Amino acid sequence: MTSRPAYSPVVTLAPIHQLGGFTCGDPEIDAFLQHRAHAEQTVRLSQVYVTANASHDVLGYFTLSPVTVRVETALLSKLGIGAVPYPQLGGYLLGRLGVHTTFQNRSVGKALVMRAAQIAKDEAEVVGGAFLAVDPKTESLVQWYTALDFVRLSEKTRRMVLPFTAIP
Amino acid sequence: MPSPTSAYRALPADERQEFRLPGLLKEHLSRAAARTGQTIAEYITAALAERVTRDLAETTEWTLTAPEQEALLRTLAAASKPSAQATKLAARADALFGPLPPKKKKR
Repeated sequence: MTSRPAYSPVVTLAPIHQLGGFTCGDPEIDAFLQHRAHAEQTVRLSQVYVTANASHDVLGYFTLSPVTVRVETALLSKLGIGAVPYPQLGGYLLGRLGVHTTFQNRSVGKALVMRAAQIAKDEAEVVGGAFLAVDPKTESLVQWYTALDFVRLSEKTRRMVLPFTAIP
Repeated sequence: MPSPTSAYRALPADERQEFRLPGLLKEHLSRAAARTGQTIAEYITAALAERVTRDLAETTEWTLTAPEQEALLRTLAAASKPSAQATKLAARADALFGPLPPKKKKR
């Protein structure tokens, strides 16, 4: 793999993509792409998006899946939102994100988050949804997502959201 | 595209699962598997894959506490515009990956 990247458009994972050489420094993220991504996409647990070089080696990837949040009716009334027939909010979960070690520290990961948000927002315009959600594994990742305008929902968990209105 | 069931079955069977079941069900399981020309392991795996696919394909649900729900609603209600940084990042994404494909039409 050359050090001069030529990133492909972000597309859904396909058999043509080469996964064996992908390493991002997190064994779980690597193993998911190499061993489970195709199967999880096939069974529709999540959609896997990748960018690759001209040889189809994956340089970075992320997963998106729908997520819903049930909202207490009393809370809606308290906030003056009123009664709704189905007190659920829908969005998309950015489940996994990885960038090949060779191409880290070039804002590729941040650009992938933005592209994930844009794709999710586009999907939401068709099927509904109001936010992109993440559940970072570490506090340092919370800080990383905070810098990308994600809002943490509480100090007790690391769950964060980015409203689609905040996405260009 | 392979079916969800075949996607599971294409993976290495590298885990064991033990459980007890009624004797009658075990007997019927053997007969049903034999009738379809499968081993019991193949039959159970196929049936499980089908059921798991169906049950997990539904949307993930986040269970939030009331304060977290309120934080979510307030965040969404704030209806923020894209920040300057978000706009810059979108330009970076376009530069790296090209523009977004045309939007899907509403169903």
